[in-house]
Amino acid sequence: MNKYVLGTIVGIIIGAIGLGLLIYQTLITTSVGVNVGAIPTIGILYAFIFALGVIIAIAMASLNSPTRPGSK
Amino acid sequence: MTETEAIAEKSDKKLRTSLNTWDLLFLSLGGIIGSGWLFAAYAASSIAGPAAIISWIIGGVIVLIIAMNYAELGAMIPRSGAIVRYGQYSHGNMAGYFMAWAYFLSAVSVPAIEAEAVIEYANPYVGNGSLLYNGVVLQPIGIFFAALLMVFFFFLNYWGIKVMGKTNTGMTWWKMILPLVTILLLVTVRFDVANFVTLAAGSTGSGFMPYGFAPVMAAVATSGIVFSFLGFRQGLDYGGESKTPQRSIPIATIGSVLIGILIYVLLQVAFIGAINFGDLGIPNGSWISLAPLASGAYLNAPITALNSAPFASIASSVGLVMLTYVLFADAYVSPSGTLNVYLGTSMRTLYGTAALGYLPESLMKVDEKRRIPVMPLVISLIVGIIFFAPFPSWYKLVGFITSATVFTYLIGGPALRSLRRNAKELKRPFNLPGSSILAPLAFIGASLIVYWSGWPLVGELAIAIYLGLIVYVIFYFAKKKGPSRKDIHTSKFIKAGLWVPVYIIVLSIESFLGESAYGGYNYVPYPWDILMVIIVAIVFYFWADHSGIRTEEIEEIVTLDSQYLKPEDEPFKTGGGE
Repeated sequence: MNKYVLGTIVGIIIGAIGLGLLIYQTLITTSVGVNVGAIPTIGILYAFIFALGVIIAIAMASLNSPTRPGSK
Repeated sequence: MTETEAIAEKSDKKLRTSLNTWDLLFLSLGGIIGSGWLFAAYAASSIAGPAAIISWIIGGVIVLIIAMNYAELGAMIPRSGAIVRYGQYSHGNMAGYFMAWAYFLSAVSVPAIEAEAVIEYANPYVGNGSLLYNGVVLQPIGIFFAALLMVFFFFLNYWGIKVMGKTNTGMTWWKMILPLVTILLLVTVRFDVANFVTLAAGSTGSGFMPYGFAPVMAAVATSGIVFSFLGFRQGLDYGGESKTPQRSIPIATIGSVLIGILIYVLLQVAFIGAINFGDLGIPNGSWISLAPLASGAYLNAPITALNSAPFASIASSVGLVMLTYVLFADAYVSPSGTLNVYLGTSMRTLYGTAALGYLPESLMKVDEKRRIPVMPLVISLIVGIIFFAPFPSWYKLVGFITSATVFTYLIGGPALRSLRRNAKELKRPFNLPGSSILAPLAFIGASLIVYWSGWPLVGELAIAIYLGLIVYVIFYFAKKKGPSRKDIHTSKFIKAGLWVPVYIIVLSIESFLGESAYGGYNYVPYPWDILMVIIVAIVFYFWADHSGIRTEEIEEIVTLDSQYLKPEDEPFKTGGGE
């Protein structure tokens, strides 16, 4: 297993943890309305962890993709 | 070949060519889907009402025509920091210098804009809601965090083009999917068709276009619409690091604008349909109430909240809690991704400007290990941070940057046509069909966008561009003493480039005389102002087109066969030029 495959797996795990926490936070959030200032900040952090995981997984998978013969 | 050109040639070859077509397309898309998608739909509808949809289409089509012109140039002569170099290739030193200077002004400040967008979006969640941003300008602590963000992406760029490019691919997938999910969910949960046709009590006109057509066009330049689409240039500026430039550059440049138009028009439709005027405490159809008051503040608390986070506020108000969280997270991801891309662009702009001989040769030094020019990256970071000072708010910066960038795009059409005459022997993997029409159309479109930026902004842009003259004079005398470019200031170059400084003055006069909706003094009201800009643009286009010369740079590219096209790459197939 090379470092990019490992990175992809780590990204998927981070994304899954973020998604799980985000779903949990969504279920317990009651403050909704046009005044978004009332929304719990922790949910944004969970969503950010989810996004981070997705981005790391895609970036690492791209870095692992084979390069064409002759390319640098 | 001068010493500078020899070094530039060597440096160009040292850059790592590791970007594939997808990477290049995603770099352009990463530039297009940035802070614009978070704020521009709100800003455009506050100016033009539901007709903001037309603004997106007009802006998108104009930028598409400009992009098509550059697609031919980019595929023909792929270079890092390409856009600053084409003016020099087609019109010589004077035009090249002015364009490089204007592009420099815009490129170095975009990372600052994106960093500001992140901080403004984060503001409601930190301290008492005005610790980072007071609703008008960034606060000192906000400026600190914005600078910190730029430092982070500095290091991502520093690790090299491969890491930066692939990270951007990941970010751009996220940035593409989220707007589409937002559109789907908002249209499903709340979509009020009446919002598209309801006219506020006491207003005249139509519900779809409540304030007439002039604001529809003003929104193109001033609400962030054109600013959003301008990201197409990444495909050109990173073109020198592409594995297959002749195919990848046209696909990335044109494809990204087409995808951008689709996403942004749908977002605008979803935004308009989802607005609940009752929740905002304003009469139905009163789009103008979303605009800031003269003081810079907003009418009431719900509108202030909507302005600070437009899509998240709407998602929250219709009960889409998870989407609200994700949108807030994206407020950090999308602009950060664009910051990442533009920091690299800024670096390549400085590199390209140095390759033309207008900046010290040390800026062309490519790091052996990273295979990027490190010094321009450091300078991009420092200058970007300095830009927080004079323009401390997102909306204030956008108008200036849009005008400065679009001004540089004026040269795309004339460069394409004059190079077809003066460099016939260069291979053209992408041959733009109908260029005799599309080149002047691109010039007219770019002129209109600069005009729509409004007075006094166009005047300020003219001053900023003329300030470049001072730098030019210093540079000229410095170079005159040195061994290279002894013929930098010949009458040949002045003749070829004189239309540039004259045209910015003429554009300023047009802006001053023009329609009051664009800040002018209404001596030439709508629609005569548009006619005036178009006619003058046509005159200047032909002047610019016929000023083109066969420059030394083109002579060298032909002589040395240094188009850098890869023989194994299949050219982009088109219907052919004329």
